Amino acid sequence: MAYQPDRSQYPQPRPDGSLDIDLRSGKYLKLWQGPQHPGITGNMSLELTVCGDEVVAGRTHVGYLHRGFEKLMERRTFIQCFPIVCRICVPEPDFNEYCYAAAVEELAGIEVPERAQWIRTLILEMGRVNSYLMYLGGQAGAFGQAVIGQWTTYARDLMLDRFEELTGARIYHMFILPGGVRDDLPEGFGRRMEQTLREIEEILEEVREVMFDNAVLKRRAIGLGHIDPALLDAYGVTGPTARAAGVAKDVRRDHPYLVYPRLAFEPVVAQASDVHARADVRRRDLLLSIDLIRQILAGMPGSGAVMTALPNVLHWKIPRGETYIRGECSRGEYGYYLVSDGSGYPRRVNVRGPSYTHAVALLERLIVNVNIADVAALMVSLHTYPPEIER
Amino acid sequence: MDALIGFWEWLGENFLLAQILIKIVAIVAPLMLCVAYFTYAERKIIGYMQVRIGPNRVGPKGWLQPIADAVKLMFKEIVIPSKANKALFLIAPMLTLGPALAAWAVFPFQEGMVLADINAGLLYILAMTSVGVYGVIIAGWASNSKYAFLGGLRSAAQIVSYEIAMGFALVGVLVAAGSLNLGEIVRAQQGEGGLFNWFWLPLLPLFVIYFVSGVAETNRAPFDVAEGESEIVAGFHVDYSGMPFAVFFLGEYANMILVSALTALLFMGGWLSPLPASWVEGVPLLGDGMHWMFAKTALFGFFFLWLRATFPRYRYDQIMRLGWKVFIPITIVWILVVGLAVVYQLPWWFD
Amino acid sequence: MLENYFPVLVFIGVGLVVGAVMIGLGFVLATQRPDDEKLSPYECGFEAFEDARMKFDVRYYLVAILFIIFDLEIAFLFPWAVVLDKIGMVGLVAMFVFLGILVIGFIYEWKKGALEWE
Repeated sequence: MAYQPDRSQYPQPRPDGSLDIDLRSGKYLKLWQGPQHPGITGNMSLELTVCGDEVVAGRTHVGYLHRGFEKLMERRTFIQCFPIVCRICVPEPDFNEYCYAAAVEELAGIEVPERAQWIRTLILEMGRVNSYLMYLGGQAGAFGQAVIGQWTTYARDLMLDRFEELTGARIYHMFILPGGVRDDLPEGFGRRMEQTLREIEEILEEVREVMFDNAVLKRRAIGLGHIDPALLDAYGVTGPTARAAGVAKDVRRDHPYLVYPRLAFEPVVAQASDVHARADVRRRDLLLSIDLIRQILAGMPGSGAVMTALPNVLHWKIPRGETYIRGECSRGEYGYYLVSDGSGYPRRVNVRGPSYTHAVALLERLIVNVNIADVAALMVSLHTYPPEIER
Repeated sequence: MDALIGFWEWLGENFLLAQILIKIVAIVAPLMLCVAYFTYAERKIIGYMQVRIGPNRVGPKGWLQPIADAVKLMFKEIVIPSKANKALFLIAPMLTLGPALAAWAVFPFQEGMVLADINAGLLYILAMTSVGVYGVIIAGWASNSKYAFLGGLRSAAQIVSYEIAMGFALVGVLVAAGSLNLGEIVRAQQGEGGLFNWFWLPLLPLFVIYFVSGVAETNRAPFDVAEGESEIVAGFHVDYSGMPFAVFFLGEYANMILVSALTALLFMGGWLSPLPASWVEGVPLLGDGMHWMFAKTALFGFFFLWLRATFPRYRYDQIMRLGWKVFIPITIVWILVVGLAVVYQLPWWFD
Repeated sequence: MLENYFPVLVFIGVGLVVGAVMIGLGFVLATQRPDDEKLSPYECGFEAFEDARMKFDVRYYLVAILFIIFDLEIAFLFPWAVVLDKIGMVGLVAMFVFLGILVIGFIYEWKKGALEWE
């Protein structure tokens, strides 16, 4: 049933555009959601003004997790920055490693061996699978369906096993170094990966049945949080959120990097642009990633170097210059802007993460005139990671 | 043995209160044990549904987990918020647990095994389950916290809404059984057809509505908006800790068991065996008895857990719409259908 | 007859006492070390800047009134339901009329939007 409340009691806009909200009238109630609230993803807070059950005004507050990564990096040598970057985004750290490494390589003029490029693509797609699995669980959890989160956590754990086998670590892999990757694939990795992919596909099929075909969830998610496709550019929306609105934006195809030009794929698109469509785009994108992993493992050259020889990294000076490296992470366009002044330290590093634009401006717009019960689901549907919002 | 029976009769003649108290303890103690192990069952069953094992550390296979939880809660500090109304804050949990236990006074566990065989049994049960809402609303008001206040209001409105659907469903049972006495209601379901003689078949819509309303009354998933953690945190008991919280918790679970047991009693023939009486007359285990009551209650208890593991939460307006606009019209229509069937003595069930 | 109800009364008392004893046990066993921060009401980590007992939505009040009406109807239906097989068709028709009036009121509420939560 469409959600059509009576809005006659809602605050009227003043001439200057702000809303006429008088808390003392008793009609409105200010309700904090976060920073200590189970319905919020990570360290953020939403300041909601509600009338009845509906949010009439909302503000997002960030800054609870500011760790100053970009500033920290200006005081570290290029190689010392490397273990920091992955910590910018916890659930999908590999993108930071790749973008940073590619930026350094471009400025320093380092060629990356072909096999290393394939392995990098593989790692990025594996990370995407992880990130989407985490999202699906969170989305269902925001609707109160806890079981999906447990299933996808299990599936993610299987993928983490492969990460552990390949990189020795489960969360922060620190595998993509400037110059290549740390190590080659272990013996029999492809076979075990295939096994893992099959299990994940099975779980995803169950998730589709239990979550996406669930009558209650459909009633709540379809039509909720519609984003007008005309707003996408104004709000800097990229990635699956844009693709769910019918815009086939995908950096992997539009500005190919690594070995993506050699893989066959089409961006996953949906038209509805609501929470259900966004979740569905991500689920299908996850299946696409699984397909891409299979293509990568099949198309990879049999052997070759995975690392170029670097100069002595302790006294590594990188020529003056600036660059912007972009890639398609699971949440949208991810970019690193790196400036070197010719010294041994980066002059400026700026991380362009999709979470900031999605979680601040867009969310503030979306949570107005929705039921308070749907705020958490809306927030999750934009797929933001607070550690990435504030670097 | 004779001496024991003699003592029991002597006790009944001279110290009636003591005899009643012993009977009550014999009901309450197993009930509390059931509540404790219902929480264990919930964690285990939902655990397995969610590809994990559930509690397995305290005692063999985690069997002592509920005991450990109880001990932990006993030793936890009781935080009473400074702005709260202290007396009401502490009375509220008692008002939730008290009626949930007291309702069992008229509950027949098997033929002749009931503490108070009163004629207004069903009315009493309806009254007791209604009192539970006071605990919720007082807790929400006494905490003096926005989240608790909103949760209490929502919860109270939801409980009273579903109580109407529940009440109409009970009227349907009454029309079919012709008595308010719970024992009589079970005996009215006796017959040659075995489980096809029970009320679930002729009263199928009421049966479903009664159970779903019971889920909504106990604020359980998928109707747990009052405690919906992604919205208003834990609702009316957000500021509770330690033993007052434990009492709320026990009340909620005791209510779940009560709803399950009542569904079994009113629609699934209570202690009656599902097989036709003439087949199993006198056969141990297969014949009528308390174990059937227990098995049926456990089945409905399992449904509670299953619902929680499978369903996402309804939105509040969807819940209210379901209660008022779907359940109440259906129950009214079905009462008339059952009334006609009784007046015209539709064979098998109502002759 | 009435002595049948005595155990019920005792049971209600026991039910309340069980709750009271458990909470009392908590006070006896647990260490109480309150401080200002601990005793402040939950407000997502912020200071509670206004009283929580504010005005609330009139719809809750409406639900309460509707509940009283319908619950009374149910109370009327109970004795009727018990003796229906004795009073037969006459009783059924009488109750049809009674429920008819109830349903008219119900339809009126529905059309008026009293049942719309939003």
